Amino acid sequence: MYKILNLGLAILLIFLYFIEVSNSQNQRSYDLIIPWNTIFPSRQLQAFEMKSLSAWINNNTPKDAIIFSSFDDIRFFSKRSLLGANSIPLKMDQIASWKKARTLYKDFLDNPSNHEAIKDINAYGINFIVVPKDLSSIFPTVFYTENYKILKVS
Amino acid sequence: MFKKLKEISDTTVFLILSIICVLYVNTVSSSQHLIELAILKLSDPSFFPYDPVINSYAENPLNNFAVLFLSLYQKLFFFDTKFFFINFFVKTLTLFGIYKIYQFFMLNRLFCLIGSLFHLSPSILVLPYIGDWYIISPALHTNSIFLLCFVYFINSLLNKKYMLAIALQIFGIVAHPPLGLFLALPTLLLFCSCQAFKEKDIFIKHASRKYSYFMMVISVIVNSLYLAKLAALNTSDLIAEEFINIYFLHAPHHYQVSTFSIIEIFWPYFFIICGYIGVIKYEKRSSLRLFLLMLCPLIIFSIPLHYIFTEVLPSIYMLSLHITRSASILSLALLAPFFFKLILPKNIWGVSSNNV
Repeated sequence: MYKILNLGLAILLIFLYFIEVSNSQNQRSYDLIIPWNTIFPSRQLQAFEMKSLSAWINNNTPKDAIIFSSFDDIRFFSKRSLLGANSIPLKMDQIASWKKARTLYKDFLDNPSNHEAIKDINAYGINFIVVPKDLSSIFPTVFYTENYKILKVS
Repeated sequence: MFKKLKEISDTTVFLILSIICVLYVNTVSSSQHLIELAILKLSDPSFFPYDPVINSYAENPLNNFAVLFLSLYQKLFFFDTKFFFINFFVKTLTLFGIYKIYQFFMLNRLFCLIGSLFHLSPSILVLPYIGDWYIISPALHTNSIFLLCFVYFINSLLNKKYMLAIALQIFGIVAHPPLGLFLALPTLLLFCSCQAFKEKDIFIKHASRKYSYFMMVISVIVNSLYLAKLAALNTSDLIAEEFINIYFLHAPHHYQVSTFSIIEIFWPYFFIICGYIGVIKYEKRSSLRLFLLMLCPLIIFSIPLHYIFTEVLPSIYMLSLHITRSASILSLALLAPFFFKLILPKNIWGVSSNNV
């Protein structure tokens, strides 16, 4: 009896594996078994926007461009250097500078015309900043989605 | 029918675990991007020239093994672009290892299967220590490789296959140096000491061939090297208090005791005390009993010790010991079977053959 059961389970395993792999939509597919994106529509929108922003960055910026954003997903999808995001460096001596960049990003969002912040942004060599769409800034907008936009640091 | 299910075969268990892991990895995972990007950086250094996080992954000697291992894997299995196969396979093997640990203590295979499934992270409120969400997290991570080594390391110790245990400890330390050094190594030493004390079974006796001595020498060298590396990397411009605050913020599994609710404090102690009573009541093998009875107080004191050295007298070195993480993993691997033995009737879990 167990031989038949095992055969059935092995077939089911192979079937599920290929279904999961071939239908995967996201980097990890959220919607195949449990419809997370239907349950949480905001999650789908957020993921969609991050992908759109990242696609633009990936297609329109050089490999050594530095992006300033708090969203770690942008690093993954755009394949560009990212400052100001949540992931922490694994080297202890870099944690202080990581924290400084995080604080700078928050300062910039709080007051986009803050001269000190703009000076530091230039000092870091940042090329593009991802901000909420309604934020007004001296930097020109080069791309936008429903809730976010990309500013080019001139 | 239930009796037949209790005698379920290991192959069936393995297939069931595989199916659940396929679904688990792909539906629950929020992905572990960083390691994949570190591999990309390794294959093409022109990527991420100014990214501190990816460069710290790529350059950090503590991560070398995981990055190189997965990089080599990607070259060999180029079709697995999303690391899906390796991820679900690692999770399956880890769960199967936990199932074998349960089987060492209980006869009922169906219950061992159910018990091992509790170790998937959505079950955090059901079983583990303080909600240790990363224990078998759905994402691919350096922890995943360490945990895989660790559960088979525990299995090897329980079955007294010391040379295999030493080899797995070496793999464990290169996969995740802090846990390899401050969890697997002390466990190995404590277990061997208990064996020597109670059964006069000195583990050097098991080194019957030349390669066994060679393995032990390698182990000493690797452990010493990683200890030196960890000491050398423990430098920071931040004061200990500030550093630890950042760590808690970004690594919730490292725990900040002052943020625990009464239930979060009550639950692990309830779990440990039940496990402790379970060990006293049911474990008859003298050396294993001594080992487990010595582990329990260490696990119990992990919370106050962690609290003192992270929040009262902050110390980066003490944080690096990962006291609560070690206690958490140990309690999961070794106390969980006794917890179940105590709270469930004997006819459900069955008496282990070694305990009869």
